[in-house]
Amino acid sequence: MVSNISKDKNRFKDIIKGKIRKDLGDLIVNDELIGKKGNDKVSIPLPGIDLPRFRFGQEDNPEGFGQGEGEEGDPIAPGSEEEEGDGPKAGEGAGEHTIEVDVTIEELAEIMKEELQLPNIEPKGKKRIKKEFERFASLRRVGPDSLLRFEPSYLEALKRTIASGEYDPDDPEIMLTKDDMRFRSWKTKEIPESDAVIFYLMDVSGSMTDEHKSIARKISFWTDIWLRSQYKGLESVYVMHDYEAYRVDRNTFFTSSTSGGTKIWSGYDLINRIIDKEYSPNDWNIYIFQYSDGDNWGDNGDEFNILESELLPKINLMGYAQIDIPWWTSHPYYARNMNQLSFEDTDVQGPYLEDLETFADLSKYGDKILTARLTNEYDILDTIKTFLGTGK
Amino acid sequence: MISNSYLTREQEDMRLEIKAVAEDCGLDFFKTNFMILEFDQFNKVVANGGFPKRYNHWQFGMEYERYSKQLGHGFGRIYELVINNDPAIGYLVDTIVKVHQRMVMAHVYGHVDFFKNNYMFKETNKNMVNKMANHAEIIKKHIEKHGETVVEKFLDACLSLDDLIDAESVRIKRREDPINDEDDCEEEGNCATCQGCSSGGCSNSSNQNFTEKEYRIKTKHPYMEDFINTPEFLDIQKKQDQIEKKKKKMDPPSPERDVLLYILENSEKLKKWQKEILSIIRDEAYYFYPQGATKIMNEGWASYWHHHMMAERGLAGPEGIVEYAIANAQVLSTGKTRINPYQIGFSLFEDIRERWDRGKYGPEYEHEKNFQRRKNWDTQEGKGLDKIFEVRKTRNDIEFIREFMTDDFIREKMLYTYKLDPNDDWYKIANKNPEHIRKQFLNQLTNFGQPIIRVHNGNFRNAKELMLEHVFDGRSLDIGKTRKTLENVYKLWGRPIYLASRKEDGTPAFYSFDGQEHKMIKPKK
Repeated sequence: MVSNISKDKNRFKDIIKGKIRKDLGDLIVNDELIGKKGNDKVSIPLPGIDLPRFRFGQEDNPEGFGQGEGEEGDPIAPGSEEEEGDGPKAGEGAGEHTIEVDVTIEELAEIMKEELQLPNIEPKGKKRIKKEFERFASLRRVGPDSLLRFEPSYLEALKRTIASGEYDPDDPEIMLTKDDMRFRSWKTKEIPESDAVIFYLMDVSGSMTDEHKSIARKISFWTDIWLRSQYKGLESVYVMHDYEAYRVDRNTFFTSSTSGGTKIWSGYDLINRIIDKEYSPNDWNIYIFQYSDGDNWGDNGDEFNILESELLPKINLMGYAQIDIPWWTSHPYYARNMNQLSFEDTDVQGPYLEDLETFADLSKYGDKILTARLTNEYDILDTIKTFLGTGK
Repeated sequence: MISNSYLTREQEDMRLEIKAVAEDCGLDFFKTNFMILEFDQFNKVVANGGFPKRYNHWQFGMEYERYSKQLGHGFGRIYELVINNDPAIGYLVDTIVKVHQRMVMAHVYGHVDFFKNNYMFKETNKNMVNKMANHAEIIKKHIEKHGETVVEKFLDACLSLDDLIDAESVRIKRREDPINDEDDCEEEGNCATCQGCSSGGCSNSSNQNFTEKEYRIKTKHPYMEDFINTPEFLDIQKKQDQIEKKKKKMDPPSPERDVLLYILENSEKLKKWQKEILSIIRDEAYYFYPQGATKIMNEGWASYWHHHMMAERGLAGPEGIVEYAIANAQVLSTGKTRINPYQIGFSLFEDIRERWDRGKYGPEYEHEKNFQRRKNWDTQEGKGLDKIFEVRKTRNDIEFIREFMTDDFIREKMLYTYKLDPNDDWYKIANKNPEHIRKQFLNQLTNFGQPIIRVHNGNFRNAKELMLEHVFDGRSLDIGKTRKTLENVYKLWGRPIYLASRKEDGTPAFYSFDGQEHKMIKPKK
C-alpha cells in the first residue's frame, strides 16, 4: 500500500537533479557545499524547490520562546554556534525554504558528466574486470515463497508460541504466521577493479591568501567527486610546500599558511618519494592536482627534470591551476585605494605557468600536463572541465 | 509489501487492556485500528499524511526525504501518527521496548477521543480514508487524459495556494443563504437583472427608487416625528444606505477569506477538470485545517491521558515504570531556546484540572492578591475532571491559550522570549512579561502565524482583474515568495492579479502580476 510514495520520491529526485543541473555553475562557486560530503552522499542546499506561499518577511532578529531560570538580559545560548535541533529557530512559519537534499556521488557525477560533457576515464594499464558477485548471506522478513527458509521460520514460530504461553510440551502444535516467516536475502559483494590516488599539491607560502585556498578547495571538491565516481577505490594525499614540502591531512592543507619561500621542486620530490613507497604505478592510477600563484624559486630547472624523468612516466595526469589573484588585492590598503590603481596593476601573472607550458611543449609526456589559469572564482568551472575533460 | 502490519496476539492483548483503561477514564473514541510499521515504512506513511492511498505528487516525496532525515534512524524514539477517521488508524513504529508501545497506544486513544469530540472536527469527513482514495482516482484519471506534466504543473499552482481557505468557517457563517439574497433583490425591484450582475457593469440598478420614508424611525407620537427624524438624520441614513448598496454590488460583497472557493466559482479560465482538481485540494485543506488549529491541545490532551494511564492507572507496571519515565521525559522535554507544544498543552491541562479541583477560578479568586492565600486556595470543588473534558470539547488552540495560559502559569513554568544580542552574539532573555509572552504566542497561532489574504474585488477595473488584500497586522510580506505565489494565482485566474499590502512601517505596498511582469505600484482605477 505504500508503494505509492516511491513514485513521488523518484519524481522529487528528478526535480532536484534538474535544479542542480540548472544551477551547477552557481553550485560550483558555492562555498556551502564544501564539508557536506559524506562517504557516498553530498548534501546540497537548494533554495526555491518548495512551493511558494504567501508568507511574512523574515524579521531581522526574531523573538523565540524558551523556558528556564533567568532574568531579562541573561545570556542563554551563544549566537553563531549551530546546535543541532536545539538551536534557536527563526520565527515560526517564516522559515527560509532552502531544502537540503542528499545526492549520491554517482548522481552528482552523472550531472557533471552531462553538463560539463566529461568523458569517462579509461583506466590505464589494467583491464577493467567487473568483480561483483552476489551471495545469500542473511535473512529478511519479506520475500518470495521460493526463498522461504523453513528452520528459522519454524524457530520464530516456536519462540512466539512459547512466549505467548500457548506452547504445550505434550501436544506441541506450532502454527506458522506471516510474522514468523524468514526469507533468504543476498548481499552484493564488490571487489574494486582499479584504484586511484590523487595527490593535491599546494603552495602555502605567504603570497597564497585565503581566497586562493578557497578556490583550490572548490576545485578539489569537484575533481574529487568525479574521480570517486570513476574509481571504486580512491585515496587522497595532501602535500603542501613552501621552501620544503610536508605531507598533511586535508584540513591542514586547506587552512594553514607559512611565511616561507616557494620551491615547487620540493613538492614534486616528496610526491615522487611517496609514490615509490606506497603507490606502485602498476596498481594505481595516479593524479596530481597542483595549486599555486605561479611563484617559484629555482632557476636551474630541477622541477622539470624530476617531472620528465620520474613523475610524468608514473602518473595519468597532472593538472596545474594557477590562481592569479595578487595577494595584495585582499589587503585593506588595496580596498581603500582601489580606484587609484589601474586594471593592469591587478592583472599580473605568475611566471611558473608559462615555464610549465614551455616545458610541456618539449616534454615526451607533454600531453599529461594540463594547465589552467584562474583570475576569479567563476573560472573554476572551466578549470574543472580542463582537468577532467581528457578522459585519462 | 508491509511486514508486521497487524498486531500480534500479545499486542492485541495489550491493546484491549489499554482500551479498557481508556474507556474507564471517560475517553470516548472511534474504533481504532493499529498498524505497527518498521521505521522506514512509517516514514513513507507519514509523508503521505497517513493515508493509504493518496494522489501522486512530488511534494510527498520531498516530505519523505525530510522525515527520514529529521527523524534520523529513529532507534529508541517514539513516534505515532493518528488519522482522523471512523474507524481511526493509529500508526506505530515497531519497537522492542514494550512500555513504549503501551505508552504510544494510550497516547493514540487520547488523540482519537479528541478527534471525535472537539468541535473543530465536527464537520470533518469521517470517511476521509476512502475519500482521499477517490481523490487519488480522479486525479489519476486526469493525468491519463491530460498528461503528467500538465496535471503536475496545475497541482503545483493549487497546492501553493491551499492555505487560502476560510480559517473561521467552522463557527462563522459569512455568506448569506441564497434565499436571503433573493429577498434583497425583491426589495430592489429588479430581481431578474440583478441575478446575473454580480460581475459588475450593473450601473442601471443604481437609480434607487427608495423614499425617505424607509429611513424614518417609527414613532408612536406624531409630534415627536420632527425631533427624531430630523433632516440631518435622514441624510446620514441615506448616505449609509448608499454605501451599503454599493457594497452589495461589490464582488464579493465583503472580502472573501475562502480565496480558493472564490476562484472556483468565478474564474473564467479554469476548465472543468481543473476545477475538479482545485476543489479536491481545497477539500483536503479543509480536512487538515482543524488539526493545525488544535495542535497544542490535541498533543497536550493525548499526553495528559497517556501519562495518567501509564503512571496513575498503573499501565506501565512496576517493571516498566522507569523505562516509561525516561520516555515520557523525552517526549515532554523543553529547552532554554525551545518550548515543546506537547509539554505546554500537557501542563495546561494539568493546571486546569488542579485549578478547578481547588476552585482556583472566578472573581473571588482573581481578586485575592495575597500570594500565600492564592497558593493555598482550596475550596474542595473537585470539578477538575469535568472541566478538562469540557475544554477539550469546546476550545481550539487560540481560545485555549488565551483563556488558560494565565500569568501564574507563565511565571510558574518560567517561560520567556529571547532575542539575539548583536553586541556579543549571544541569545539573551528578552522579555518575561506574561502579557507579552501570551500575545506573541497568540500571534504565532493566529492563522498559523501566516498572513491573512482575502479577495477584495473580483472585477477590478471592471475587467475581471482580481484584487486581493492582505489583512495587515504590523508584519509585511516576503516579496520574493509573494511574487512567486501571485504567479500561481494568475495561473488559476487568467487575468491580472493585484495584492494590496503594507510595508513594515504601515505605508501601502502594491503587488501586481499581469502574466508577464511584476510591478509594485498602486494600480489606477
